[in-house]
Amino acid sequence: MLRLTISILWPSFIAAGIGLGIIFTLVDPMELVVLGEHVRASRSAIYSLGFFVLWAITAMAAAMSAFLLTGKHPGDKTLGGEGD
Amino acid sequence: MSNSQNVIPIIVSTAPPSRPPDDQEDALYEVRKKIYPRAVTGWFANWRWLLVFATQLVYYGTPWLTWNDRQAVLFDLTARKFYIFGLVFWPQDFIYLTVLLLICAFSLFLFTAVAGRLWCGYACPQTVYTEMFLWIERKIEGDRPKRIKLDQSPLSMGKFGKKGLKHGLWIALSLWTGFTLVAYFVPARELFSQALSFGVAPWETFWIFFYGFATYGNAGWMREQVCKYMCPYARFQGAMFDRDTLVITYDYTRGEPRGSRSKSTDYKAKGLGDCIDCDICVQVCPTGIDIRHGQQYECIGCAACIDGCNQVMDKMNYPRGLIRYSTLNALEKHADWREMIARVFRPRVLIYTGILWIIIIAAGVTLWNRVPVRADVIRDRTTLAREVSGGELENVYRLQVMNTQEHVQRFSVGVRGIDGLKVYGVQQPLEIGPAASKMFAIPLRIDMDAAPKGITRIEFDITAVGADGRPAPDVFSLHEKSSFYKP
Repeated sequence: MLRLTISILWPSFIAAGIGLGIIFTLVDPMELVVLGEHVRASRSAIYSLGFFVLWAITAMAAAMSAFLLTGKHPGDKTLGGEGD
Repeated sequence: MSNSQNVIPIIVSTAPPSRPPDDQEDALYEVRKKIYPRAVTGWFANWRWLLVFATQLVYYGTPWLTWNDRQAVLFDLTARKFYIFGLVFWPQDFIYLTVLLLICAFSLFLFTAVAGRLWCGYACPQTVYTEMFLWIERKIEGDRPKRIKLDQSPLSMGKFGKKGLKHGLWIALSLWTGFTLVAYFVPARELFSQALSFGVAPWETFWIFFYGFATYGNAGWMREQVCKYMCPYARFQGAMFDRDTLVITYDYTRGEPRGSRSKSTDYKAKGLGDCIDCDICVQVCPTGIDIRHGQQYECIGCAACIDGCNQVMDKMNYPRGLIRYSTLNALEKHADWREMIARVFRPRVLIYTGILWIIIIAAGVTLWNRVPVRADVIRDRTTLAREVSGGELENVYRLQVMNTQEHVQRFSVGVRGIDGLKVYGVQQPLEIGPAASKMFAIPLRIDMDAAPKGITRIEFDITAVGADGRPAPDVFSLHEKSSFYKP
């Protein structure tokens, strides 16, 4: 279970970090408009929260992949079974 | 269209469908056995310690360096400016970060092709911090046999004290590591005085503990599992390998058949190889493998087994190098190191080196020729072209200027493209402070009759002005395109 958790959280952590870097290089968080309102928070708060939002999304994608690969499926021999 | 395209071949499997075990994770992941690496000394261990000191001196020391009365290396995310010694980078300089990553990637490819997992064995933070954490562990709990015994013994005051002290020191080192990371983003000295008075801002506190916890977990608990299960490089480094890559090898033909013997035995007469089967190579291995089984993906190339085996060989008065750095080709052909070095200059290595140099030179040239000031001109769309007194037409532009240097820059703004078009009412030269970004409103005026109807391309000239008040285009001279509009 620990390894499954790690293999979901770790790659998504890296992906979120890269995503955050790209987004906030291009966009100044002070110019962010969320639902029509300027965000009233410090840049470091937006960077940090932005990172966790991204991490949650990327982790969700990784978790879905993990579920699709390890979840039982009739006749599935590609992964989890004995096949390669 | 032929009929054959419509036929989908179906192969009916007669084998019964195999069912994965109920608890798949048990089948996919073996249970980890705790590894107690034995301390090792020798040539390669010294190299590793040298790199531990070098990398950590840079990592822990850099935030405390000063340059131009500010922190020498500061990634000031809140001001969106990166300071690296004499250079100031803006988000617009993102390309340099990309280039830096490319250089790192190709260096890694090159090192891997030549000498395998050098990075993993000597310089990777996971190795370096594990080495430091192991050192603390060894100082408190003793070497391998003592640690195994301690872990097996029932909980006592002594054990509790040792474990408590170990974890206390680990946590202290981890927190200092986390603090150092944050000190690259928030001025270190301020952060330190805030930390002393428990006044660190919430997000900074969070990241110190977050990174500290990651260090503690990875170097104290996870250790070789990070390399085995988490590291992407460990998985794809094989793609850079070939038969001439230096890897850590066990000389099978020399070592086998292995067996224990006393030092005085004529082992050759007994038909034994040089391996005395002492298991030192296994005990010192931080990933717990037996190098004598051949190349394994778990091997991080730390050469601890080489150091361990060489010591044993010395004791036995056998020649060193039963386990050594070698290449698969050299091992097969019994080639000496001269032939191995000759094989370093093979196409793969030359191509990696070539690409690396091209990137480094290109980056160096662009960095050297980097313009000290950036400018961007946008026509102000809120105030459209308007007629002003004296029968003139005015367009207003927004000139965004960024100073990438740490001294004040003076410059003048001129315009070309339409005869009679001039900059109006701007006190020249303009000035921009050190490492600042500033917006200037630049009105352009022209005689109504001289202005062509519609949109006309124009060009702004932003030229440096020297201390003597004269233009200094050799410092910088920028040309920004825009358009002039007459309704």
